[in-house]
Amino acid sequence: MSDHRPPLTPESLAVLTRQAGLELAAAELAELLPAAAAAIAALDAFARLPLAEAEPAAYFLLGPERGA
Amino acid sequence: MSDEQLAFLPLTALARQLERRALSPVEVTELFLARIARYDPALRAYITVTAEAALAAARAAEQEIRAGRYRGPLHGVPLAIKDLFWTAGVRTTAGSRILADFVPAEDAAAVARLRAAGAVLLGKTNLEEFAFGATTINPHYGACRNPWDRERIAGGSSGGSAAAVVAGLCAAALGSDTGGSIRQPAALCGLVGLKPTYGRVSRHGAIPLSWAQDHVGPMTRTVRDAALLLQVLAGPDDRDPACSAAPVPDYTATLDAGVRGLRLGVPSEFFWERVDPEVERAVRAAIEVLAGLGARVEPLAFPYWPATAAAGATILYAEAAAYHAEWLRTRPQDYGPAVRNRLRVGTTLLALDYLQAQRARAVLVREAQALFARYDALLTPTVPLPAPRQDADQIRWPDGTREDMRAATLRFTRPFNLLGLPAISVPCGFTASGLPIGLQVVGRPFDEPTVLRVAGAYEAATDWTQRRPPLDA
Repeated sequence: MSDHRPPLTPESLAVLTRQAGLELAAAELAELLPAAAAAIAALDAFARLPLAEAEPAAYFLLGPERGA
Repeated sequence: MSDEQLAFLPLTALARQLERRALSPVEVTELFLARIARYDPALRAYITVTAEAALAAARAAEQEIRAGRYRGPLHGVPLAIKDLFWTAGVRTTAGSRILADFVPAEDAAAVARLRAAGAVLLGKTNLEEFAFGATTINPHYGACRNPWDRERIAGGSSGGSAAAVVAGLCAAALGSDTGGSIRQPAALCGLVGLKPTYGRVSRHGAIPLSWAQDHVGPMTRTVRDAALLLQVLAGPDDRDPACSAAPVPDYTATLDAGVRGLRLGVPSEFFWERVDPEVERAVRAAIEVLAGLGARVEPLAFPYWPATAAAGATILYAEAAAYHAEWLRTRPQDYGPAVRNRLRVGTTLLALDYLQAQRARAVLVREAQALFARYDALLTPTVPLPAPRQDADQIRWPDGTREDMRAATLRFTRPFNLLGLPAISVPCGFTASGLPIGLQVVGRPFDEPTVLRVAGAYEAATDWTQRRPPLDA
């Protein structure tokens, strides 16, 4: 359960995976559901950081040491 | 010197013998190949052994050294390469069925640097499928076994490299680390594993798992060996957009400088929660050793560790799913079930989630850099527990909670992939049942010299790296 995303259901999981081009059987969705729910729940751990002034950290621009 | 002693020589000592021509690269290569033939069927550290190519390279090295063209401390030294790195003309499976027949036309940048330094490549080591996991229980190439106890995991994803080094099946190995995949198997198998700063070593030709967090580094018997290998591996490469042009210092210059006066921070929280008591005792004893050597050891508060781990996991899942998107659609049956499920998790994250994780990363990197205004290095356990059994799915902690075994073993290493900080695992003891324990030393960006200096001082004051696993038991 995440504060920022509604709880996953087999139906909403099917929508998400279909958008990624995957047509999963009911058994596959059931297998995926706990791990996907855990990954979404983890989002809360950093969602409350002061992100307002933060730009996404492009992976090639970590800090001032780059290219120093 | 017996063959057994020779097989476990630190790379540094082996190099001296080769340079003086007291040993020949061919006899050393033959020795390692014989040990691979004898021990690897049980350990499954290697996926591919390139015996003929290794012997040819050894003969060439021998001729060059004899002719006075000594290239440096890797010349003629037999090494192993995680099967995630391209090797020209030699298949590179990434531990997968999907790439079972992939034969690259060129070497990965790290492999090319090792070859140019004169190293002899013995073969490609086992790993978690596509490096997405923590156990090296590989569904396609067999479960790699921990040389200290074959019922236990070697760790992962660079488990084959770790097992090969600690079992004397190579002099050192190349690994990669996206959430702890060099340091965690190093700790579980009792060797030294160094994840350099993000961008210090080129990832060109290393099959990606998470572009934002993939690192390449050495796995060795000693800290000095790690410094020597990093010296060869580090440097700019325009083919890797993350690779830094920062000057490469002499990594052995301050290795023996000691730790007197260094400020070493020990996190007060996160790294001591849900830790095996034997691990905690060994790591706290190691910290006492460093204090006894003159370091100023102080507790530190950093409330962001859980956020760091979570943002790292989000980026990992999303980027891995992006890299594998096409194969996930067209060849799902060719993945092992565990990795296929992990990759599918990544497809359920939104662009919003990924971007918020990257924004979080910017905040967390800034906070971590502020932390290093007060400390020269941080000390933590590398892994909260000794090597779990191969069949363990969950860990039951003394407080009654349960945790996924794979997640537990990477809990203390993952934050430093997101932060991009250099981190090393150095052996710091054994459990009563004889399983290795690792101390993690973390430094400022591009300050590998201090990380190596702290780990080297600890190693010099103890004798944990002298022990050998019971291979004939």
